[in-house]
Amino acid sequence: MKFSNKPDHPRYDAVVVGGGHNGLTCAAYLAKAGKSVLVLEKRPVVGGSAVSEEVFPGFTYTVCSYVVSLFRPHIVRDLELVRHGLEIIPLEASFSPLPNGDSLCRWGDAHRTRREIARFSAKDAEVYPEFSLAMSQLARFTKSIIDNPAPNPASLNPAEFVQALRSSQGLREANADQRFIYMKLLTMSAADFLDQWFESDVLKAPMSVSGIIGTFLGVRSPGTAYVLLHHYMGEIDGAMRAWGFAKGGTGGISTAIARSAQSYGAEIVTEAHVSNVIIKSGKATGVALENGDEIRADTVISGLDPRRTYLGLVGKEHLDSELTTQLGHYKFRGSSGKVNLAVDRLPEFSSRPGDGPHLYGDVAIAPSIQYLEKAYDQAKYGDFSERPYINMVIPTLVDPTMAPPGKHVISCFVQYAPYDIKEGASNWPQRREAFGDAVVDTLEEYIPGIKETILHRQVLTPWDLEQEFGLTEGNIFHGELSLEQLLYLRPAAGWAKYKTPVRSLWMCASGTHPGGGIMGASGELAARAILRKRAA
Amino acid sequence: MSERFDVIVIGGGHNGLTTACLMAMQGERVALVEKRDALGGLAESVEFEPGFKSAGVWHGTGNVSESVMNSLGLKSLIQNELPTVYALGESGHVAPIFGPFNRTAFGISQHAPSDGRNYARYRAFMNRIRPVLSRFLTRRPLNFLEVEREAPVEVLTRALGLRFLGSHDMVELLRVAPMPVRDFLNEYFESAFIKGALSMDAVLGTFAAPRSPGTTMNLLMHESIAGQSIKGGSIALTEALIRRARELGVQVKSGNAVTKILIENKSVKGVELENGEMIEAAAVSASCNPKAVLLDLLPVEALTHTTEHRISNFRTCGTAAHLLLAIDGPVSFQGASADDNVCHARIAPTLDHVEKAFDAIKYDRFSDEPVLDIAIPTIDDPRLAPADKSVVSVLVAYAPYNLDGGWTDDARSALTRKVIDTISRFAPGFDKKIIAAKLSSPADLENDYGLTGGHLHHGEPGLDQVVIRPIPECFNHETPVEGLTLCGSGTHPGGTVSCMAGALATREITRPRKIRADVA
Repeated sequence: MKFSNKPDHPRYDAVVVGGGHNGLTCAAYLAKAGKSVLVLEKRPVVGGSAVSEEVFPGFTYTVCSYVVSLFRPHIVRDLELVRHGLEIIPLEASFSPLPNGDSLCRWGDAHRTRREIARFSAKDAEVYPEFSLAMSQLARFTKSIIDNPAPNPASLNPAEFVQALRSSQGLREANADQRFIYMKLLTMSAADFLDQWFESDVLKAPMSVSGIIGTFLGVRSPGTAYVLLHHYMGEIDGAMRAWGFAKGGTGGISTAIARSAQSYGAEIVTEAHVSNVIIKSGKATGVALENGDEIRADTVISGLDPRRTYLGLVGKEHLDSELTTQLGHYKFRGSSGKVNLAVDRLPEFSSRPGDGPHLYGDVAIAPSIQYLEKAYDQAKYGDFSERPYINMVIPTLVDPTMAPPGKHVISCFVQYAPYDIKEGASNWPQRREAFGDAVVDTLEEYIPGIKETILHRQVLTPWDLEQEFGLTEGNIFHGELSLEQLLYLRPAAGWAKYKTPVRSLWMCASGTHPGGGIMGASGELAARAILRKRAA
Repeated sequence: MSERFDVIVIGGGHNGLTTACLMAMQGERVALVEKRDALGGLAESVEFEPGFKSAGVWHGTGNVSESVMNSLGLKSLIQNELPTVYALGESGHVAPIFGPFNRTAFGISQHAPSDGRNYARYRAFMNRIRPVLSRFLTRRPLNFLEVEREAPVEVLTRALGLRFLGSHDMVELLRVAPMPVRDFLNEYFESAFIKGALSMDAVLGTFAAPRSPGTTMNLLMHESIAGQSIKGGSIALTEALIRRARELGVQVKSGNAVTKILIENKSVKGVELENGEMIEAAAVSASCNPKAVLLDLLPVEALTHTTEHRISNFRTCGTAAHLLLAIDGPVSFQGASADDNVCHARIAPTLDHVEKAFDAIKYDRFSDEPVLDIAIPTIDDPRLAPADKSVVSVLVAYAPYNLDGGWTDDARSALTRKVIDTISRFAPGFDKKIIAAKLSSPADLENDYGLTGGHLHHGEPGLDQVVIRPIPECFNHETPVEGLTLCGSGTHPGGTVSCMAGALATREITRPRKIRADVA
């Protein structure tokens, strides 16, 4: 997909800074509503962290984000993304190899999963469907929260009250027992929560990791249970299913949204470095590029994270001290890295040799709760985990065009890699290969011989994610998804509704409610807020 | 023929005593059954070495509720003087972290001027949110799981209470409460040892560390109840409660454990004791751990499967040990002047120290460098030891309930050694003065005091177990069994010596009986 590198016009209804999936979604909605829209992206490709790139000749990597689940189905319909090439293939399995040569594989087929779990605990096998049912029911309640803007509890505006009713609709429909579990999910640690249901570590460990992805917390940290729900919230084609791959890698989603936006008349310009938002008497009037060009716009929308938006594009001088303090408290502290491998044959797990359906899903190196806690403990004091949690997928099994025939790409999400290593974040480049080695060494324990099959290796530390993708401190969610940074507090109290204190400047990315993951929800809700404002 | 009473209270700790007294004040005939020989529970003074007595396991009384003391007629015990707690840092740094405001702010500013200023900001915030939190801690909790069934006026009043903080403080309170206490303290302070010591209010006795989300809530609750203390400390409190109970005609049966709660037609009928004795009453209130009450004392058929599942998931894993030391001479901490008269100090040199100390228990080990809450009760009450001798009482974090290899004598002495070595680094020569030492691991606390899991708070004060304590079926001190109530720290508003749970429970003991009387 080619984009121009110069805007056609000097003036637009709206300029979106940053062509990540949220920026593109916001742009597409605005263009669809008849606005003239320009998207400015710094990199040569759009998608932000949701990109597929040919890093080594012939091998296309899903460089950062690697699976899709929470992308809102109504956005797919609204923006006609399927027509624009979006194709999501559900993950077949969730495979967890163990160091003792055994393994657990959870399948799409419930009966098969139960048989697998029963090998470790008959009791857990019995409880598993009950657990899944309870979670799926609760996941439904969460939808009203993520599909609506976050109400502000401090506001006395009746409209806020109506909004609160709308957001809480799911919870109001829930009965006391369901609310009890929901409350536990919000506050407990993933490990404690799972302890209430299951006894087998082999099952609990790979389940618990969903709670820590992208956060600087361990599976025993309170508050991590909540994300377990997200696994039951995944919707692909409106059907409640778990996670999926996009054809062509995660970049496939961004490409589809970009095409959709263009079809509505939005213009996308790449390699455009925005230096700042132009502000005249407290109102955003356009953006200035690093090459000196200026583009006028009635509305400017930032798809960057809160720190980059406020302290980079806007500048402290336009903010009051209250907001500056809040931004100072807003936590990023990235905790994960990415290792992408090109290999000349499929990995062969000692616990389940050969090709097989277990490879067509995600593979979790999370053999026990203690293993995960040890990995976290190292990170707390400024080291990357020697034996990290790895979530691995092999996108070429779904889309063979991403590598030369017979060869494969492997995407490994790795945690923990703290942004603030004790040598100092800027020293990450010296630690990068050691970090990559730790990952490969870990894999080698489960896939003997994988080292010899590696043709290319791309290691992205949190530092690299910041430098290359503009993710502050390498946080993949534009700021931690912890309770104090969610809902009406994301990114700051009073400024959680996509609006900013600078008139006509809006925010639309993961650093706003509901944030995190390839959801598109922030982009869509921001666009709706902007359109409502302009209609009024 | 068995004896008959109106109310039987199980457990003679400070909460059980409070419930017994308050019920007796309403004219009820009350029996109080205690497993140990003496009353007082965790606040009981124990002679651990000939001539040396403790001031209880919980050696502080800064959380005792003034209103409860008033209703017990023990107002005279309350003194408005705040007990000073000192933080001990490396290389002789000493600063008060809690106590009379001016002295504390001044002491803190000696180490970092900005900390002094920020301490004023910190205290001001605590004072502003105090009304809301103390309302939460001193009233019947609202069951927000079934908020539709609560009286709308109640709900509205509480919501308005929060709103009246003003939008800034309200949002700030909602923002910080679920935060890790480390992040919260970092927003205010610079000095590492001050942050370390303050964080202990949030994590001592819990399965959490400064990086654990939700720990700020514990600090806020602690800071907002604390305001006064008991003259003469926990010993005076226990003595006064016992005296009051006797005055009010409460029948005390100590040295006798309840083995069964008797049930007839889904209502409580009485209790059976270890010695086979039966006592009858239509109301039984248990101050011991809810888990023990429901799972050990009730017949299995009294609980539904769900209730049983929920209560067995009530987290009660103890994480602190208690060490009593008999010391020859006074204890002097490096850097502290004689004027400071340090009788309560903390050793937690940095937040990372606390965090690392916690890491160990995740793997069933005790900390290599434990963090300590140290009290020297002999300073206030010299009667506890022979002349020129001292008693030192240390709460040691962290020590797991399930120690890898078990709590053998070797394990106890190894931990004792570590604690003594740690104190000696801050009080040179301390190790030379030790006459005797007695360490109680969480497992020992369970054995000696019937403390389930050895958990000092009767149950983990995680956010989920704070708002619904212990489980929905036992919300608001009730149980699924008619006439059986809970009045210990495992119910709202939770642990430490506050007497509040015992006081709140009395309303629930009275209420259903009044309703029944009306119907009749």
